[in-house]
Amino acid sequence: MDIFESIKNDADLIVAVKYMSENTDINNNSLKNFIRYLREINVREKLPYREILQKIAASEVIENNEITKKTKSEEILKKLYNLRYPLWSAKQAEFIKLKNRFRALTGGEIEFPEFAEGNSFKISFTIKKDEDIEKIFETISKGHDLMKESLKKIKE
Amino acid sequence: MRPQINKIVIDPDYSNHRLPFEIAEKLGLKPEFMKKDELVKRVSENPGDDLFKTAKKILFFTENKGKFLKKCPGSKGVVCCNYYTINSVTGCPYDCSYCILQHYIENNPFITVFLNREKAIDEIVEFLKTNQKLRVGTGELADSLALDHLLDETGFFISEIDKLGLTDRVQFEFKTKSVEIERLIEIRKKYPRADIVAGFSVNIPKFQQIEEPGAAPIEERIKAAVRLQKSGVKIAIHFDPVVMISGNIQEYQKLIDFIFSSLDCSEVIWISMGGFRHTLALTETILKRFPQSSLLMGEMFPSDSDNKLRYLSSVRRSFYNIFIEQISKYFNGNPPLYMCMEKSFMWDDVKMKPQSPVF
Repeated sequence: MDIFESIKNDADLIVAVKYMSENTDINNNSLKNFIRYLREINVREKLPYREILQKIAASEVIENNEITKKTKSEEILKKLYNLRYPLWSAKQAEFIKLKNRFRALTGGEIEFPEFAEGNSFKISFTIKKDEDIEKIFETISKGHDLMKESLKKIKE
Repeated sequence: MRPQINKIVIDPDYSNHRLPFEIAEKLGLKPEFMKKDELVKRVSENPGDDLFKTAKKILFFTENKGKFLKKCPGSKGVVCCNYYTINSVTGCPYDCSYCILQHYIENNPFITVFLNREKAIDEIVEFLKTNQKLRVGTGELADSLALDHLLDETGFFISEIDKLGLTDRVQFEFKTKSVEIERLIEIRKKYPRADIVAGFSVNIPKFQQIEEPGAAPIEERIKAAVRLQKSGVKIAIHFDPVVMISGNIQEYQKLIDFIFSSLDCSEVIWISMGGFRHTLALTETILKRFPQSSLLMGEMFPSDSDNKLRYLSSVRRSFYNIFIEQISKYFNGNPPLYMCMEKSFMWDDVKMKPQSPVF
């Protein structure tokens, strides 16, 4: 089913889509996601589309003349995604923080399972020369607590 | 209320069977003769208000050229319970928002009844040449009991298994959202040695009322389960699909209390729970046919192993843990519980192990 076909009887959604396509540079796939997120938030939170756009302060993004139209569409879509998937967005933000802290402490990388679909994570280090090996043994213990925290976080 | 059937269509190549004529007579309908393609075309050209609803009132009789007995397809990467299915009927009179059968609408929108179901019995016999036991059901692509007053699937399968002396090797489950149990009670009396299970799919009332049109209310299903238990039929309960969204967990806890305080838990043979999961294509169908469905409210993501969308693992863990705790109260801490289509990491996380009699 063509998702655009499915909105033809929804006047309020057409208004939202027009607002987005006239004020940003959005491709078809992103527009499909825009429509899907709006509809699903609307069903879940019983909020009209207009209020959903207000909630994410879409007009502030649109009125920001320092960013391109393409960036505007990306920003709005990101905010909408966060509203549509609040639990995952929060978890993702925590994962990013943990990854950054681990990298800063040890020079290694933490790899969490996609969409937290699992109960384990991987760590990796890049070895190019002998000194890199010594460095891993020197720094990995600094990541001990962080690895424990990551394991806890993934199972929460 | 029984599902409405308003058309009986017989594949002209198989018009020598009595069953469709007997059903037509019962329903006061005049059978029509048509090949499948012609019927698909006719239904597509005359869809009424809703093609799905129109097609669900048609019984099409033909023969199955493929195999009847198949291992439950499960899904890649999930813990499998070794269940087998017999697809002697495909299609269902109910119109559940989450039903995967909605995908078959273009090729097979109506309820197809296979007339050569004796072949399924031959396949069971063949299977038992190399296997000791078979746990099987007819509820994968159909509701096992919704049309039993017409199709007599219970009578056919149980009598054949009894006749062959296989009652101690075949456990037969009839899975349903109906209260069509009279025939099954009769069959229980007639074949007391048969290992019969009636499986009831259940969900919270507010979900059932909106998203399972035509199916029996939950209270009625449990009343039917109680009657079946009293007649000696084992009961299975399937919490599937569990809709894991905010505000539902308390409703599920109430449902669990209602079900297991109504039933004799010592005669509940197994209980399954499965979070709602679906393909991307089903999302579009739900959007089109059930735009206000609560199925679209959760946070669901695709899995790399089977491409199905599932709730976030933390949400699943939380729901499953509450289910386990609540159900365990009725089973001295050890319920015959398993998860349907769930991955091994989730079994680890909720500390469940595959156990008898399912595994």
